[in-house]
Amino acid sequence: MVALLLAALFIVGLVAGYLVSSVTAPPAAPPAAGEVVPKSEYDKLLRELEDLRRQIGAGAAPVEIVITAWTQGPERESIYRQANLEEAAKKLTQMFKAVGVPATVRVEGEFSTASWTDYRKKLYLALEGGTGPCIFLTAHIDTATLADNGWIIPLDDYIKKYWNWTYYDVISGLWNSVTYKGRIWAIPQDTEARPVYYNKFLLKKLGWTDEMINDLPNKVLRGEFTLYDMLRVAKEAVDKGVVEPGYGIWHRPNAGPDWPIVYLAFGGELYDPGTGKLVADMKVWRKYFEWFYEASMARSKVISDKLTALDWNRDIHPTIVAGKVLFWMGGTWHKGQWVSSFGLSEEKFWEMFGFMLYPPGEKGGRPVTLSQPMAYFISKTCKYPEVAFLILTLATDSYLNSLHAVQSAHLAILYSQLSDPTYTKDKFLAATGYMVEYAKYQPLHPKWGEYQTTIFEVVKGIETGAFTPDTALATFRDLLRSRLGDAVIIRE
Amino acid sequence: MSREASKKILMLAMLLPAVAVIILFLAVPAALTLLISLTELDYRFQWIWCGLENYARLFSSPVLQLIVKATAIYVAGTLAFNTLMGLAIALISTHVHDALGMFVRAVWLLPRVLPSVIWALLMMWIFSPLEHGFLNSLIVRAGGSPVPWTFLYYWPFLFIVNGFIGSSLSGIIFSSAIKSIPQDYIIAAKLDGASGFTIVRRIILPMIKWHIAFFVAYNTLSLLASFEYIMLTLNGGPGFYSTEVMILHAYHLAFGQYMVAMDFGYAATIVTILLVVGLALSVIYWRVFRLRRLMIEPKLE
Amino acid sequence: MVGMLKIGKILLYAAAVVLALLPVVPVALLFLLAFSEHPVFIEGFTLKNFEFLKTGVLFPEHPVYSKLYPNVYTVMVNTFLLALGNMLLVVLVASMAAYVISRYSFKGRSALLGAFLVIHGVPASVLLIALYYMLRTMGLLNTLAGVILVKMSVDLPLGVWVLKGFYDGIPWDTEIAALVDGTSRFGAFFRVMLPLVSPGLFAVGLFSFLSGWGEYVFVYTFIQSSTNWTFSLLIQSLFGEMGGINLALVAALSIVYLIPVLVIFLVGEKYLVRVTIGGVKG
Repeated sequence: MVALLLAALFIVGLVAGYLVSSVTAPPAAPPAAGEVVPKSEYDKLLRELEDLRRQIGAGAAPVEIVITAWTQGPERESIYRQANLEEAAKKLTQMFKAVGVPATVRVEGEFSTASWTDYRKKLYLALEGGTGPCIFLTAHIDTATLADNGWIIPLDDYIKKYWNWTYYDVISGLWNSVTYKGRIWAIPQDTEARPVYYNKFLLKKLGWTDEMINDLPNKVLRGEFTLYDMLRVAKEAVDKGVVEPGYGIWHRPNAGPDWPIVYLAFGGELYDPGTGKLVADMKVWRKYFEWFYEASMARSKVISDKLTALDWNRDIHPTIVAGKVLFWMGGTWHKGQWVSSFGLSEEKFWEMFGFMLYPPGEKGGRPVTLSQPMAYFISKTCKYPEVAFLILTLATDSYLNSLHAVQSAHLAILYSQLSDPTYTKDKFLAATGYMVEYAKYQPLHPKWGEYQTTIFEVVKGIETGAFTPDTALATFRDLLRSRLGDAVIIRE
Repeated sequence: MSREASKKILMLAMLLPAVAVIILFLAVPAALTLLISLTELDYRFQWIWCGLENYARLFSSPVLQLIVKATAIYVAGTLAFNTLMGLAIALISTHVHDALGMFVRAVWLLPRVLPSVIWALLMMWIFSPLEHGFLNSLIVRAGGSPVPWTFLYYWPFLFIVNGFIGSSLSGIIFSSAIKSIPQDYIIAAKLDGASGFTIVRRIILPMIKWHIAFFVAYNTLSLLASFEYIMLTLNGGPGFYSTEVMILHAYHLAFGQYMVAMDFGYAATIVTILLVVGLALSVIYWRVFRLRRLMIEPKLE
Repeated sequence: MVGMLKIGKILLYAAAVVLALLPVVPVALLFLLAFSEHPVFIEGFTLKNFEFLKTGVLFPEHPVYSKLYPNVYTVMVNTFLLALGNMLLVVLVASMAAYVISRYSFKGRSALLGAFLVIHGVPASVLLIALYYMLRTMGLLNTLAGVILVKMSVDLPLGVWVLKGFYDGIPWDTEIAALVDGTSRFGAFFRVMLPLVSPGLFAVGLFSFLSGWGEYVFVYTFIQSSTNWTFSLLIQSLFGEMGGINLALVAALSIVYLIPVLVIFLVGEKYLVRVTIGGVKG
């Protein structure tokens, strides 16, 4: 008797499942290459929406789909990260209205200006507790942790499905930044480059001519101007009183993605794709620590010992905007911040600042920079993953993304942006576009955060006079071993 | 129901909420901390037992010496400031007119009742090493160059920040102790021609010895695990673990990592050690100060 | 000899005045800054920094920035709820527990009292990790209720000790008289004892309110959504963002935050002193 019931249930289940799947079946493969026909995809969507409408039934109560989304700056200029999602939801609702589907889509959530530590804490806590938002933005670097913990869904299938809507247009290298263990986990939202800004007024005071100043980025490209050349120039500025001691070269005051750049400039490697482990080449790290030691107040007096205790908005940006620092190892979006929040006019920016890649460590070497693309992820607990994905797709649009890029001085993610008038109007974005070719990414590994924090702590120690290059290297090795264990390969 | 039983039930009902709260929010977490220190608990919230591995890691940590040193300096320095300033407040406020004395002690309570962020904000602004700090703006206007207060003189800075909070407590305790010294001793000494200083040195201080010792003991215990003002101002800097006291390091490991590793298990080892030390000290104080006599026997049955 | 005495006395009074000024000066500077015309230095006098009081929205003219921070009045309500919740719970629980401890002898009484003393001495910071885990398990993370519970448990030992001191000071005869009259034990407590220790209740209430009003660490650790922020988080966040650009605004917000503290301080300073010392000596 029981067996019969079970069998009956099983058959009912099969039938029901078939009915459900036939209604929600994915469309046929996208049209052949060369036949970019967004309209046909739109028509396909219309047909699916018609089905949906029939299902819901005419005259049924309108369904409101709420998609929660959390995005982060922390700089306010990046508000479009949230606004573009809201705009996309409006577009989607409009499409529903046009077809007569009684459903509206709304994006709810917040744009955070908290520090990355606090934002990530909030995000991870929610994801871990199953109360995370449907869509969230974070740096691509979180992919490894998010994927390993099973908090996000892989997006390969959706990307394939909607390839011809917009994803064919994404700059191909960006996909690497969100690919982990063979799958794509996020949609790139923006990218940036981390240049070294230099103060043209101060260089002039050192006796540089306009040609010399304008040729500087090219010299870096040709491998003629190295990190030690930069150090030399900064030292000269300090010795001649053009800048205060310690104001020759400034960098970020806290942990972050920039720390490995000088290591990369000296030719170091961070990741071993064969074993999937992180790498620390001690010979190169020695060069790194020697450079920072040489720049510190103990030697050339070029980097202030107080730098790592300063605050971004209270101390650092105002000082740079006031023209007191010769070299600033920053990011492209800082220009956006200086113009929007720190009272630097656009003209003054071009008069005062130039920018270049990080010079190579040795003559003839290749200059580098680092990019940390931001990306949108969809959490596993999202009730409407495909609607969420549609929102991301509609937000990944040349115009909307260019609005963000221009406002916040981040770089393009779509090929078509490079010819979009909104984007090309911006002189700064045009001038920094070439840097993306030289950009490296941080390795996607769950323990990368600790590696990077360790670099920062040791540099802080060198700059505040606690370490010599030897003791720095020893402490660095000890800390890596203690914190990363066998997740890192230490090459002597 | 008998009177005896109804009395007992009433007692229980009135006592229970307090006991429940203490057990749930104070005793259980203490035990839990010990348990967590034996696991690899982190942001994934998975209980993975690992025995004493975390302790081994802690004792071989390259920064252990630094955090212990920072804790020692912090506790010793702040304690000295609190005790000395408290004595100064007590001695001065009890030797002037009563109203002024009470006013002094009341005013010193102000930093203590201020919300911590406000006090920290004020101190950071006043002692800011850049030009826009209050002290430096005065100095610059007078023609000098800015003094790097919180960079070079960070320990005195912290002693001041925390000291202003703690001195009110010692000031009040010592004042009431001084006030309860029988006046005859003082009058007799004055008649003998003793100067003010001698009276302080020979009579007052010895008579409030117990109170000073008690305060020192009590304050040491509190300071061992205090970190709020350090976190709000220097947050462990300005250099490589310069002011990173043990409890602050534990907090950073658990809640302050850039990529949110939330190393609860490892951080809990530091906290457990502090708890054990604190408990041991408390037991010692209990014996030494015969705190039992503070507990008046009940009057009812 | 007399001359020396006079100079000594003058110096003493001078020292007292200096001593009295030391804690006041920083607070006075804060006031000056809040009314300053210049955003970073103290200059002039203006009320423009307090404009947020009109609607509670910070940066109202800016379409983007105005959405980045919670409404000041929301934040004020949260802070008030935390303070009030802490006060009510501490007074309620402590008044009952202290009565029993003061009046009745039972097994474990001295152990309990000792436990309260020890717990009061060690800061709650040592329990943050475990509390975080517990609140998360109970679903109370990111809620004001969770913070109130934790705060209350931290302030309870002090409340019990102080109130016990007040109860101890009331002669036993009072209760005997009430009981003889036929009142129940609970009636004796409620109608006779409580009014008699009302100064103590007042003191503990004031203290707990202030303690909740100024709380930072628990709120920072346990709360993530900005709609649940209290004043302390808002000010700390703003100080980080604009401490070098618009310090006057931060100062103005701080003054608003400070007003209840100052009022309570002026009104109940006597009680606060009593509580401070009561927690140590009983």
